[in-house]
Amino acid sequence: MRTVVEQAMRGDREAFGILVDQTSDRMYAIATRILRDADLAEDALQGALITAWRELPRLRDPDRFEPWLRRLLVHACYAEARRRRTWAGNVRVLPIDGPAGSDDYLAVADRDALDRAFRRLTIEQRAVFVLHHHIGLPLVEVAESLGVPAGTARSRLHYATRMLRAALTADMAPVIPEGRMA
Amino acid sequence: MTANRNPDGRIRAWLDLMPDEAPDRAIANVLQAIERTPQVRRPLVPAIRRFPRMNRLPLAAAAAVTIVAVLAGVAIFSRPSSPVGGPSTPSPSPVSSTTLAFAPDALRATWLGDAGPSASPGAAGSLIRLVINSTGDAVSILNAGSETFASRPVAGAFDEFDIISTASADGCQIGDLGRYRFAFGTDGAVPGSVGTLLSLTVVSDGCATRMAMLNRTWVHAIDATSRGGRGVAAVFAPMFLITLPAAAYTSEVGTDSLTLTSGTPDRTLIAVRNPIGWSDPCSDTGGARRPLAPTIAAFTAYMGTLPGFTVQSSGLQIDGRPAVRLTIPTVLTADCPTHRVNEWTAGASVGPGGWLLNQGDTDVLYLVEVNGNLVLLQWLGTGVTSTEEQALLATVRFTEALPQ
Repeated sequence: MRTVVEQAMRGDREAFGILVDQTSDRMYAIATRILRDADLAEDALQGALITAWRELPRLRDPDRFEPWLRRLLVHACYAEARRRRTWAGNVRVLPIDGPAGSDDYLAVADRDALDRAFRRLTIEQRAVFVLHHHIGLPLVEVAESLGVPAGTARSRLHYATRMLRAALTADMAPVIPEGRMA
Repeated sequence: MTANRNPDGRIRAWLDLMPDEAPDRAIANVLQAIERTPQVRRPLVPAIRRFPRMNRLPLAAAAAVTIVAVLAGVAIFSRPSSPVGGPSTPSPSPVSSTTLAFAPDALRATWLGDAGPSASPGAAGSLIRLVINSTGDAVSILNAGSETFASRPVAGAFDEFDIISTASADGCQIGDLGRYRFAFGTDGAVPGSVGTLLSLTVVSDGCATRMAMLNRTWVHAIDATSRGGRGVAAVFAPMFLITLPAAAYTSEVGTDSLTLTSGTPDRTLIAVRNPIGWSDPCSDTGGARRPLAPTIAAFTAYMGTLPGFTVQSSGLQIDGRPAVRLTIPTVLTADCPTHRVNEWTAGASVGPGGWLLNQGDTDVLYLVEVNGNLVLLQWLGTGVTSTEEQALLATVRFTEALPQ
């Protein structure tokens, strides 16, 4: 991938197209999970990729292209979450039904409880949770991706995990909030 | 049913429910967008910083050669210009070359001008925009939404902004040279706003129609891609001046709405004129539009009717006018199954869409009445405090005309 990144850094649009092809599904998967909204995720993905193209000559280490892109994407998700703007079309909520087979594993009530709990998290807490639990990044890399201290990432992950676990229990334990976004 | 009772397993399964494939249209949009998006130039400085003990002469020489090579370019336009001097302008000195160059950094922005009744071509009394792109290699004038007078900067005197036409259109021929002296000024409303005004004074221009458009005082537009600072948002009337913190902002303009977003730090300015409500705010589309009087009282009362919303209002002034800050904590309610509430949309907008809030979040917004209009303003981002919001709003000045 390094060679392709270097070509793209020199302005080769075809090379950048290859990078888009190789990374866009992974990036979209992150954005949909953080934002829980297909339209916003699509906007965040597009914004991050266009920013990546524009800023690519400033990338210091071509081997770090994907982490760098992930960071741009998470910031684009933050912006989309706050913009809450859907001029392009009707609000489109992600389908409640997931891929075939998942029903056996996850009850509808669980999904609803988790959806509600996730929406109560701040966008920053969601980002940490998704990068750690869905992508499988170690906390140190999560912190690096988000540009926050490791302690902050740990605190956000702890709170998010606790909230989601609590949502699945009948006697939901009280949780002290870390702080809400305005 | 084989439900896994391990909470973490169930959470992971829930995370897996989301789609994993980027829509084709998103990819197509990106590839289309980069065709017209220039890349930033690679910085030359880091190599010098990285090797502080290195003999810098060869590096400086290499940098100089690079710059000369870039500036030298290729003089591709052959038609000699026949200068048209403006009245009472400095006498033009001979033009030694048409070497391609880049616009001075401070000029790279969008600038607003009043086309006025005498401009040609141009809509009488309407605003025109001088667009100097972020890489400094393209200049044009947006007039009634059309791009005109496509030009390219060329090398000139240090206090001159010199350009040549890159298209035979709008009364210009390819290669027509225009020479303008430039100077910055202040709008006078807020200390430190130097750079808000840009005066271009013609030295000579081979294209008379371009000269009629360019030779004027321009005002920094804040409603376009910008690096912040002080400028005018002219998306709707009343226009307003505002000073944004330095950052790279992108702009989205709708009918009666403006959204400016920066990534680092993540900040968003939202401005909407005469917002209206929805009749069915919990539905996907919001239902029918619900007209509202353009007053603080009407909008505040409407927000209080939204499911799970509690409105707290505090009075203040924006530009000396009565205004309010609404703090709106929300809670989940059973009558809103998706917990997404359509809050408002711009009254004059067409098509679906508007601003949403997830129940459980807190919204903060400002309302101010200006000459029979209601203007809604928001300053959003990580760690934004009411102090930061109000410091920004203290720079707002509403205006009927461009400052001079």
